[in-house]
Amino acid sequence: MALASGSHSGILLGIRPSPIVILTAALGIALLATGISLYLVASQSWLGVKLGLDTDGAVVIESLQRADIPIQIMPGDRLQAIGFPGSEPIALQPLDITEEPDTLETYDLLNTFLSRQEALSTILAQPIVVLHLRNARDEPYEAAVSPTDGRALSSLPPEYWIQIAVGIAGMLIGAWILALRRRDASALCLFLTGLGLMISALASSIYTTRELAIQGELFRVLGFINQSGTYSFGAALICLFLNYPNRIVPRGVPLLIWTVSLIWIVANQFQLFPSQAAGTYGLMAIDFALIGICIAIQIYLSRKNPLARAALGWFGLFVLCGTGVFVFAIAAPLLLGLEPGMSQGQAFGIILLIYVGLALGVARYRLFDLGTWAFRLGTYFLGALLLIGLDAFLIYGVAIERAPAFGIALLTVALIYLPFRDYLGRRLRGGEALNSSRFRQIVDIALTRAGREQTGEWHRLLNDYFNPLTLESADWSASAALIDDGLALMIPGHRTLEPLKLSYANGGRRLFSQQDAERAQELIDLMRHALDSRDAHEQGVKQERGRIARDLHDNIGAQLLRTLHSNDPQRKDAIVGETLADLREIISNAQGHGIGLDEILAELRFETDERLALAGLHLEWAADCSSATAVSAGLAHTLRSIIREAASNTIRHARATGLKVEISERQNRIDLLIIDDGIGFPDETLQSSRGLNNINLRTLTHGGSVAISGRNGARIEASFPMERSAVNG
Amino acid sequence: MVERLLIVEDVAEARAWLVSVAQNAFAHARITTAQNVAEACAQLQADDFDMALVDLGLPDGSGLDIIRRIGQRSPRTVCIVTTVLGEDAHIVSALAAGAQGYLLKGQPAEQLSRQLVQIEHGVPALSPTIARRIMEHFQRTGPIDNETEQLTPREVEVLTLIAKGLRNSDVAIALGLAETTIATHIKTIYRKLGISSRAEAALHANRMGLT
Repeated sequence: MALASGSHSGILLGIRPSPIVILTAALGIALLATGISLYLVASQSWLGVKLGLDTDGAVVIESLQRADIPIQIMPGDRLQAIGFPGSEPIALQPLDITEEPDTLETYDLLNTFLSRQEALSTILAQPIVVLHLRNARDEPYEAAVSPTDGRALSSLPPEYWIQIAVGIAGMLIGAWILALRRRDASALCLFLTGLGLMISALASSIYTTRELAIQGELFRVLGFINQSGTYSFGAALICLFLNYPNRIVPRGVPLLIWTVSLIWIVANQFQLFPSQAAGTYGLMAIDFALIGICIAIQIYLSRKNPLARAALGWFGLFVLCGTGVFVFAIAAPLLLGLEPGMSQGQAFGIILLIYVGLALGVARYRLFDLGTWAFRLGTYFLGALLLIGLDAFLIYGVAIERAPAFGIALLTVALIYLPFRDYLGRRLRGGEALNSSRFRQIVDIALTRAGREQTGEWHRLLNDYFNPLTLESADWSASAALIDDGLALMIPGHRTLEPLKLSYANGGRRLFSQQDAERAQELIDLMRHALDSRDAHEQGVKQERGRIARDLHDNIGAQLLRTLHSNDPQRKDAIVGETLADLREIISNAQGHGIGLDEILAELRFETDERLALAGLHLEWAADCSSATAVSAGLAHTLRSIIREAASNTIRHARATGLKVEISERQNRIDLLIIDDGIGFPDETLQSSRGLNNINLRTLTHGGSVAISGRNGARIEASFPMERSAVNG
Repeated sequence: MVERLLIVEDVAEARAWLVSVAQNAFAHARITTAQNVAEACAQLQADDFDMALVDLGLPDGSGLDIIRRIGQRSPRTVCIVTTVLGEDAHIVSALAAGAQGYLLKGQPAEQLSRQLVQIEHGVPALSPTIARRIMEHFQRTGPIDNETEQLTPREVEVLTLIAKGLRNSDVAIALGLAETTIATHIKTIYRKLGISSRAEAALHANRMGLT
């Protein structure tokens, strides 16, 4: 995750700040910038009147904002000129209350405007200012007003606060994304758009909301800062869509864009363009067109990835709406020589749309690969911001003492914001998490007999979970997926459960989110696992039954048949005894113990030793086997039969004093050597002896080889391929 | 000397065969038979026995109940489990319930008879497979408290060799001990098995929160 890696600047500085450090730093920048703006605004000398233009294009006093203004001045009176005692008054022009000088068409007009601002601000800086007015009856009169040293913050129009709020919000949202995705070039671009927006908005907030005039030089600097911020915003936005979601141009292109923007700003500052409107708004229109093109290309490139395309469409729409309002309401009319449709301050409010869209995009489409968890950081920070803002408002706006103000702010945040944050968190998380009772439900469904009952239970579970308006069977789908941007959710099927399409989440009150798709995937994965496990279990039971049946048939059945057809009662007894031992083994094997070769040999050694001891014979036993080797029931049976048969022969016929058994395991074969020191037997016996025939037959059916000789005592040499037992306890 | 012998066996032919085997082993013993748990209990009530051969699967219950009853009423009685298809697990639990040996009814009569004589002389039977199960049992139980008796290293050695298929006499030679010492070890192991099974029960009860 990007949390562990450094940002671009972080890498350069060799430090890796945590997200909260980045956010705090961004907040610091925001507070500093706001402080500068407030300081500059508040330190202007102030008459206490709100000026505007009447329908005839004359400057009028719209309202009075100070109580100590001479009584004869009434709202609606025309302000024709201002001056100070002992000087020639300057007649006011509509030009003087132009909100944004960028909107002036020519550079000449701009220069005139700025020099008049300088002159007017000089007058406003005097202790006494004489206002030359005309009242409602069109009678001229003069009034002397002494401007205060600073401006009351309460006199600032809403446009001022909108611009501050938009600038700071944009920058902080950018910082939020950057803090969580520091490695991401597109996150850096996004942050730069926010920074540009803040610079632009805060600079213009100072001069667009001036009472009448501010110093010409300050105005010029602020204008330059405002333009730089605006073009940074545009350039960063282009770079963003050159990089997000796919990088579509070489690395040099962003640099080129920034260079061109910089040259453009400088050229405009030196007034090199044919008109001021073209110099200021031309680049803005070009930027807008480029952004639109980039978004279109990105959408085209993401055509194979519906989610990325939907996310991009969503974010792109907000960006185009946000910037488009600015371009079409202000830039385009000016370029065409028309009046702008709205004030710049209001237009800034619409730019905030971009960042609202961004935040929603993160929630809905994991924009920038951020999940809803990103909101934890965001809302935590927003809480801190609210606390500071409310505290400041109470102290400066409502004039409450510091200590109680902080208490009130804290209480408000705790009582109102935190519960709201919790509520928001629950909404974003959307529905319950997979818990143990759901898990049990799924296992129960998997264990239900396949058919209508199982399907019904599965549908009920999905209904509980997502509460869709409709639930219908659908075509095959590999994984849970959103359809039509979340109108419907595909649930893949498994075995007897058919694929489903759920439409309209939560009774149609919301769209399916990416999180729903993930949760549905979890559900179906669990379900698949449960169904497969059940099948595997059934399969295992079936296999085990088959194995027991085979063992019973091959060993017990064959032996009982031999008993049935044997005329020798002693032999009958012997076979029945063996059969019982085999049966014991089959049963104990069915308990899941499996048959270890060493265990079989140990039993065999014990049994043989007992039998030989009873007949007064000595057993020499050498077994060299790995303890971990497991063998099949068939091989175990073969080994047992051969050794028993050989021991029986030795006891009955050989007149021997001892028997030697050697068993060794090598390369998946078992070698068996049985020798006694008895009288042996003639070769003809090989044909006639039922016991020896039996040894021969058993070895061969097991794919082994055997050599039997009776010339020098009995000697049986056998070798078997070892097949590992399927059931290994 | 075994003078009074009880044979509990539900299959008539097997019962007759066991009687003949026992008669062969203990010529002077008086043999009483029972064909189910109820009959066996009645016989135990009426008489004292030196030895009891008890089949595990009986029509009205498990031979284990009879073995436990004998353990409570007359601990002097030597209890032997006789089983035809005795699964290892059942034999181990029978030994833990107080049986001092077990016999497989599928063996030839003379072998069985010899084992009975051996048991009378204090040499309990122990096959490799059962030795293995006993070791597993002790590994599973583990020490529960200080009073729980665990196997001594010597006893583990004896069990290990028996599990490899060595007979008692071979184990004695391998360990350089007398065969009677091996028999004593096996008896001790059987006794500890009973204690450890009670400890195991206590452990289960503890785990289930019953104590």
